[in-house]
Amino acid sequence: MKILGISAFFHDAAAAIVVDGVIVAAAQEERFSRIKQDASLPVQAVRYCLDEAELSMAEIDYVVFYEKPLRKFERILVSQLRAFPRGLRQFGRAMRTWLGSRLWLKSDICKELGCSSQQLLFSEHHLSHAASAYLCSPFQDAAIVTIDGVGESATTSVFHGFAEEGCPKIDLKLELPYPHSIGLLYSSLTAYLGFRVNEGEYKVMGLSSYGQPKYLEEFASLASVGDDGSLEINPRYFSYHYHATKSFTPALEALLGPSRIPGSPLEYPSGDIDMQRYADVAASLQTFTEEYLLVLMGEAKRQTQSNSLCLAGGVALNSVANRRICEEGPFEHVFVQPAAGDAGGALGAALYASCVLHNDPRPRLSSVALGQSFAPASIEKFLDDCGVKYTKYSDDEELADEVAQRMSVGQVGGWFQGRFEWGPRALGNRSILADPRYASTRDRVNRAIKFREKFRPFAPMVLSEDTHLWFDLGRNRDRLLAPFMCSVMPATAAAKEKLSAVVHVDGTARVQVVGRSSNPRTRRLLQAFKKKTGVGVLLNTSMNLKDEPICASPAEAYGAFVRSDMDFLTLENCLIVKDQI
Amino acid sequence: MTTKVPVRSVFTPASWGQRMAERGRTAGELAGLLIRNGRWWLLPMLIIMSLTAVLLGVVHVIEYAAPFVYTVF
Repeated sequence: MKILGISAFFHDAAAAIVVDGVIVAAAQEERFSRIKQDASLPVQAVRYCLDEAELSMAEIDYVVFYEKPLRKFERILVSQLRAFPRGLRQFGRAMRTWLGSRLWLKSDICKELGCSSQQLLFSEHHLSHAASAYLCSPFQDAAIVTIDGVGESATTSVFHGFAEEGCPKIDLKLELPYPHSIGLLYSSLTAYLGFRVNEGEYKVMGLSSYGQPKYLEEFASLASVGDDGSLEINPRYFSYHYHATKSFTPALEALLGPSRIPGSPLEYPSGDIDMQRYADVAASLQTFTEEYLLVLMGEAKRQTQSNSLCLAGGVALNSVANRRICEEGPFEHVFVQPAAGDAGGALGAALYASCVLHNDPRPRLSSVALGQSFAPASIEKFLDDCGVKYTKYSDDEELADEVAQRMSVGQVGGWFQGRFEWGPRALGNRSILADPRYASTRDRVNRAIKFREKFRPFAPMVLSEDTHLWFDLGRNRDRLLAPFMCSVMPATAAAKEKLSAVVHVDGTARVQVVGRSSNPRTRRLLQAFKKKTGVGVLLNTSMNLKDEPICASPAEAYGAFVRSDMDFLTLENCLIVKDQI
Repeated sequence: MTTKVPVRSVFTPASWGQRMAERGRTAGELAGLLIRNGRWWLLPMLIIMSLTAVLLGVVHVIEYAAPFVYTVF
């Protein structure tokens, strides 16, 4: 079966194509449109997926949308009426959006993509998330937990994935209804802390390491947690169910203190009382979330009696919580869909139709390099056309040696090769890399290259055989999370001493382990760097500047290179050096 | 690791008639969903809102309809 999955109209629109159970391509629309977290119908991503599979729309058996819009509309109608008259303004806004366009999504998809309505199927939001995790995992029997803001009406779901006569099945065990959502609670506190919702949650996670969970008692009054994994939000403190732009009420500020003004300075460590309070609130939020997730995992275990866990949904991108789930949760093995957010729903919708409805073989997600690649000849032509001076390397070893040499003397550079990554993380195909040994390098990358807050940490990539030297894999010994940077790991004493650019203030790092079979060119670079410095680790951050999506094409990579303080850029086998262009 | 040549990704958009028919089916599906879930009482509100939206659209598009609308209100 040839199945195209799409997600759109909330955030992170994406498309994925699955042919006979093989994931041929998957990409987010933002990489093509250059609009961060672009939510519009992913026409360009669909076009790319069809090109990669060498198919036309007429040859696609089914196009599967990742959620059911009519059920979502019903939930919005009912929740808005329940909040009446407080939500009158948001009601008007929602009705304009829905009656004006979103309700007619089916005909719009058919019009924009040129598919017939008979080709078009609709999955359920959390089922799509569940399929994206379970069907990509190596498990036959697993509990599947999906946690995000809200889907059609559920905010958190527990499924049981199993095989019946060789066919994968996904059964719903329990779900939590809107507005009781750990994802929306996290997002509301993200807004309280002055960061943008759906984007600033990573910053809150990083900020939490600078504080102490001093507000856990206050958090207990924000939401109550039941032993059965239920969560009840106290509506006194939140307004996301009836207010269009503000997700918390003045009662929250009375409880936790005034909210942070967006854009106001944040420097840590700090003697400023308010700055420390923000960090303490972030730490309390993070701890509360982790504690709740552990209760939920206990219930998932009781419901499914499985030894393995699959996680998806935006909350599953919380790598600090994932570590605690691995270490303290009731499951032996844990797998997290690398594109756990709404983009992953596109892949899940396609996989559900392919593997569950049609019984195609299940894929094994060994790499997230599912995006567009660029032929070396086209890169050379681009550079020649722009009149850029570059050195072409015919031998990968030589290129790796040269780049490793440059990094070992403190240079920072872009590393562009192969297909771009699926999901929010750059894993060595569209990365900015640097020497991890000096904190000054981290500060330079934050200040002059990524133009972001100083308190935010950077992630390391490490040779698989050296992981134990620098990081504690813990119970994640089967290394299912390690290749995709889905969990943090405590740093060893040696790492704390020698890798100051990539060990966060709490002594952990969000590690990507580069195995023997994955990403050979990046692995060669790590080996070359180890030969020069004795350290098989590199600082790795995504190749994008502030508020931009990760670069997809050579032109975008070159643009980021020119507009930032990067010292060099590799585009496949071409090396461009800043002081030579 | 090479870029595929985009040879067959030409979309064939649906016609206006097809889109309108599809929208009609969507409205029917929504009505069916609300009735099945015991929320049929939402339907009158939706119909009034939709008709208001259509009326406003018509008023914006056809300028000379304004005097007739004025007399209605």
